[in-house]
Amino acid sequence: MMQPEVLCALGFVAVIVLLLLRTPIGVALGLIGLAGLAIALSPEAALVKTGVIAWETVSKYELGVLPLFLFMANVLFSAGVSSLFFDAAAKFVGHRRGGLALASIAGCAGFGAISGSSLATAATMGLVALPEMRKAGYAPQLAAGSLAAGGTLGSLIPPSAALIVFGVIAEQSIRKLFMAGIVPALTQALMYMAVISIVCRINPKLGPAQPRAPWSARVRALAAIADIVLLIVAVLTGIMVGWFTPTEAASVGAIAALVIAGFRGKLSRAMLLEALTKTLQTAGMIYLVIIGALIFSAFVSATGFATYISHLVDAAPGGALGAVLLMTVVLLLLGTFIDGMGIMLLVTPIFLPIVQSHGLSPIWFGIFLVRTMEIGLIHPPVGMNIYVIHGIAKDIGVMTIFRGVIPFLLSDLVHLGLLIAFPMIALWLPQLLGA
Amino acid sequence: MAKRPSPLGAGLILVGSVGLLGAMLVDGLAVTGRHLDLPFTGSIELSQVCVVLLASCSIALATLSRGHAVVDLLHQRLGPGGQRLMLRLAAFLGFIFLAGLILGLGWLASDLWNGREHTELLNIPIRWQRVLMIACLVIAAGGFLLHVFAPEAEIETTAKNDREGRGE
Repeated sequence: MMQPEVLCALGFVAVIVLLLLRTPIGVALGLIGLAGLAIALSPEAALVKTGVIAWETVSKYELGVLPLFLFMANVLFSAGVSSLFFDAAAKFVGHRRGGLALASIAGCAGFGAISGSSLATAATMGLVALPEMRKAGYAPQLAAGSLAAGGTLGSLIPPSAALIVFGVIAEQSIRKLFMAGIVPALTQALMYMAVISIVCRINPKLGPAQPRAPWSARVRALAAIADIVLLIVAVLTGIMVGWFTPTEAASVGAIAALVIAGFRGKLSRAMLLEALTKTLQTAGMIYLVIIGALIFSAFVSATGFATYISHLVDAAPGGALGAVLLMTVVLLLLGTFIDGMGIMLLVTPIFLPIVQSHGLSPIWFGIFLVRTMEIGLIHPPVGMNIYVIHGIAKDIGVMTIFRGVIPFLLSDLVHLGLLIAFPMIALWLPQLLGA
Repeated sequence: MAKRPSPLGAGLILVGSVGLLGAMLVDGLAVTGRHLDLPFTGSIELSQVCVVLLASCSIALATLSRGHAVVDLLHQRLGPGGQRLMLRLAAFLGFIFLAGLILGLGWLASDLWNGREHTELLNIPIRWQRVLMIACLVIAAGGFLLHVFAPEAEIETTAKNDREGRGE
C-alpha cells in the first residue's frame, strides 16, 4: 500500500496535469479526489462520500448567496450601468495628469463591487475606459496597465465571488470575509492611484490632462450612479450591522436591482431572460468547481497530507512569519501557471490547517489568499487580465501591457507585505463591528 | 448563450429561473417579515428547495453551453489537431467524473429512499430533490458525452472559438 502522503502528492501532480490538459477545474479536482478516496479508503466509501458532498453543496442554503449576487450583477449590467462609474470618476479627476487612469481605477472599484469578478471587471472597464484613454492620447502601457491592474479589485472588493467560494470551502463566515475585504480593497485602490500619480509626475506624457468638466456635468454624472451606490452601500451595511444574512442581502440586492432597472426603463422580458441565463451558466460553473474542490479536500484530509506538510512547515525556521512567507512564494509560483480560483481550491485544504496551527486568523488567510490570487492575474506568464485587455485592444502588445503593469505589480507586492506584517488591515473592521 | 438554447437548455433555464427567482422572493419576504414582526416560518426550507432547483439546473446548463472554467495554457500552444483531441479528452474526463457523482448520489438516494426524509417545519420531502439533482447530473453527463463524440466539424468550431476568444 502506497504511503498516504505520497498518494496525496501524486494527486496534486495529477490535478495539475489534468488542468494543463484543459480539463474543467471542477472535473480535475473532483476526479482525482474521487480516485484518491477510492485508493485511500475504498471505492464504495469514495462514491458515497462524493455523493454526500455533491448533495450538501447543492442544497446548501448559504451558497445561494452566490447565484443571487450574480443575478444582481447581471441585472445591473443589462440595465447599462457598466460605464457609469468610470464616467462619474472621469468628470471629477479627468483634468488631472493621469486623471482618466485614476478614473479607471475608481471605475474598477465601483464595478468590482457589483460584479465580484476580476476578469469581468477588467473586460467591462477595458471596453469602457480604454477607448477614452487612447482618444485622450494616453500611453498604451499606462492605459492598458491601469485597467489590467484595476480589474483585480473585483476579486477582493465585496461582495466578491472569490470570498464566497473561500468561505464555503474553508467553512468561514462570509459576512466576516466581506467586512475583512473592505479595507484591503480600498488601500489597494489608493495605492494604484498613487502609482498612477507618481508615474505621470515623472513622465507627464504618459497621461495628459484633459479639459476640466463643469460642475453641472459632475453633478449629473453623480446622480446617474446614486441609486447603484445606494444599493451597494445598503447591501454591505445590511450585512455588516446584521440587518440580514449575506444570502438575504443578495436577495434584497437582486430585488432592488430589478427595481432600479425598472425605474431606468431597462426591464424587459428579453433583458430578464438574458440576466437569468447568464447567472445560471456562471453559477453552474462555480457549483461544479466547489463540488470538485470539496471532494479533493476530503481526499487530502483522508491522507493526512495537511498534517504532514504542517509538520514540515513547522520545522522550517521563522515560525508563523516563515510559514506565511513560504506560502506566499508557493502561491506566487503556482500563479505563474494556474489561475486564481484553481490555486485557491488546490491549496486551501493544505494551507488553512497550517495557518490555524500558527494561531493566525482564517479570515485574514482568506483575504491574503485572494490578494495573492489577484497578483497572479497580472504577473507573467499567465496574467489573465493582461490577455483580457489584449483581447480588447489587439494592437497593444502583451509585452507592452506587462510593462505597463510593472509599477502596479510592485505596489501589489508592497501591499501584500503590509497585509502580512499588519493583519489588522483586514481584521480591524470585523473586530470593530463585533463580527 | 449567444445562440438560441435547445429545448432542453430552455427547460433548464426555466426550472433554474424558477429556483433563482423563488429564492430571491422567499428571502426578500422573510427579511421584510422579520422587520415587520411577521416572521415567515420555514422560509429557509423553501429557499433551500429553490437553491437545489437552481444549482442542479445550472450545472447541467453550464455543461451544455460548454461554460465550465478551464486553464487555457497548454491548449493554446497546440495545433488544431491537438486542440481537438484535448477537447474530446477533457469532455471524456468530465463524463467519467459526473458518472461517479451520479453513482454516489444514486447510492445515497437509494439508501435513504425509505427513510422518507423531509424538512422539519414544512415537511418538504427531500428524496425528490435528490432525484431532480440526479436527473440534472445525467443531463450534464450526457452533455459531456456529446462533446466526446461530437462531429469533427463541431469540435473544430469549439477549438476555433477558443482560439479566437483567447484573451477575451
